[in-house]
Amino acid sequence: MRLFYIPFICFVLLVAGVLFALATRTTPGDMVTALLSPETLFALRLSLVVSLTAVALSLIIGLPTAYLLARSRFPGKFLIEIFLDLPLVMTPLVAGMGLLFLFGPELLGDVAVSAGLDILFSPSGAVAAQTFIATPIVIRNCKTAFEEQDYHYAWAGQNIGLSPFQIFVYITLPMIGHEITSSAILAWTRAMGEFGATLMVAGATRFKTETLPVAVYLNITSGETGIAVACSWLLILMGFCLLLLLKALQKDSPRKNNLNLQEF
Amino acid sequence: MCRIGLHHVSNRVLKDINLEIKNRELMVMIGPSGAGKSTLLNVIAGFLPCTGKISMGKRCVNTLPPHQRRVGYVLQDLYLFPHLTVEKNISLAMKNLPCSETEKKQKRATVLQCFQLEKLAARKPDKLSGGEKQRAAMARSIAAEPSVLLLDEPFSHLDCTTADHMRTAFRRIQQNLGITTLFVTHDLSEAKALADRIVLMKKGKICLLPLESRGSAITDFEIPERLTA
Repeated sequence: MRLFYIPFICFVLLVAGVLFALATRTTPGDMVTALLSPETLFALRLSLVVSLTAVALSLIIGLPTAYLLARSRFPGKFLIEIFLDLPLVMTPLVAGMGLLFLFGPELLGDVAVSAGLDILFSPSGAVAAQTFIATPIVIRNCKTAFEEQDYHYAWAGQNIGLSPFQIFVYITLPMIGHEITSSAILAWTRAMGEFGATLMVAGATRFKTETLPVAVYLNITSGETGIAVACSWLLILMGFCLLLLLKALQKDSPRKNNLNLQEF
Repeated sequence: MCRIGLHHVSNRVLKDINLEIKNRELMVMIGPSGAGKSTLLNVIAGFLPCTGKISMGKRCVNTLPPHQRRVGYVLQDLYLFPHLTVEKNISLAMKNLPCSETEKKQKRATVLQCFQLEKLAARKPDKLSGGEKQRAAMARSIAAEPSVLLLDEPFSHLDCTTADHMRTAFRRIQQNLGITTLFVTHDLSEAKALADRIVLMKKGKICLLPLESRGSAITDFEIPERLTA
């Protein structure tokens, strides 16, 4: 078993090496300046707004979908489930290209514009891209949680006269609160780091559609390493905090939930 | 409160059940495991399909979904909502009652008092003992003001002393409220202690006609013989 320490230590060193390389790229003084620069602050603010909106939309779409998939049986259900999981395995660039064509002038573009939604090459496009990527994470994890919930609780709810919708709101959802929160955190982490699809749908325009990953891309390609590294550290720190929160939630969970971490 | 009528009720387990539980009566159904007792309760509550007719008072409830049947059903494992305190479990049962919030508050206080749950109101189910959970589950069912009450071996997980205490308390409350009740057990002594009438179910059939338990000629030996036959 001592041999197992070799790959373990190698990977720990690799992760530490990546962080070390990022840390030594700038001086602390330059880092502070880069962190406080208007571009970094804009990217941080836009990333938070866009990713949180995407998570909210993912929950609104994902929770009812997960409930339906968990509680109903219909022919070809497994195919539908695979179909809904596709965004998880689709290359983000391909997903983004699909969204670009879907919301382009030849398909839904005019309809979206007439409804007041300016999706392409705008922050709304980033929201659309991140929602597309994050929703399957919510569906997958919440479906498992719904499936594991004992249906007798729903019976107990019906016995006291609650309608199916009331049972969903007052019993089913609160009972899987931990799993919903964990799913939302995973989805948020994924949305925060989303780049490929966002680039295709929203574009990469400074001070317009510049999320943190886009800021890293724009600045590294233009040689502004300071801001690129500062934005990278912001992403790493936020990811670390979210993972810490996720761990804490899993520790407190009454059912020690089985989140599918592989898509993260 | 109303009577329960079952007329030619059948499904995969039940075989042509005909039974009438009178208004305010406590009927106990006994029978061996797998006889179909719980299935019958699930059919009456609306969770399993059946043919035949189920009526409560003058209402035929066959086509009604479970939440509209006004059936209080205490399941064997109770299923108190773990994220809610005892008081909130009871409050949720009163959610759809057609009365004001003030009236609901009064009713909730009465139910808590009736089941001696006042001091436990703020506790969540995982902080309750077996007997306390039992009382909370019954209180929740009663709080919803059902027309009839179904109980599926509610005291089977309790120790003898607690179960005796619960039986006495339950009988007193059932008589005070006058709620029509079908109580399922496989314990004959429990049946005799509680029942206005006892029926025996075996292999999906009512095979012993309802008998008056109090002052009747049922002996301790008669039913066990039939149960094991």
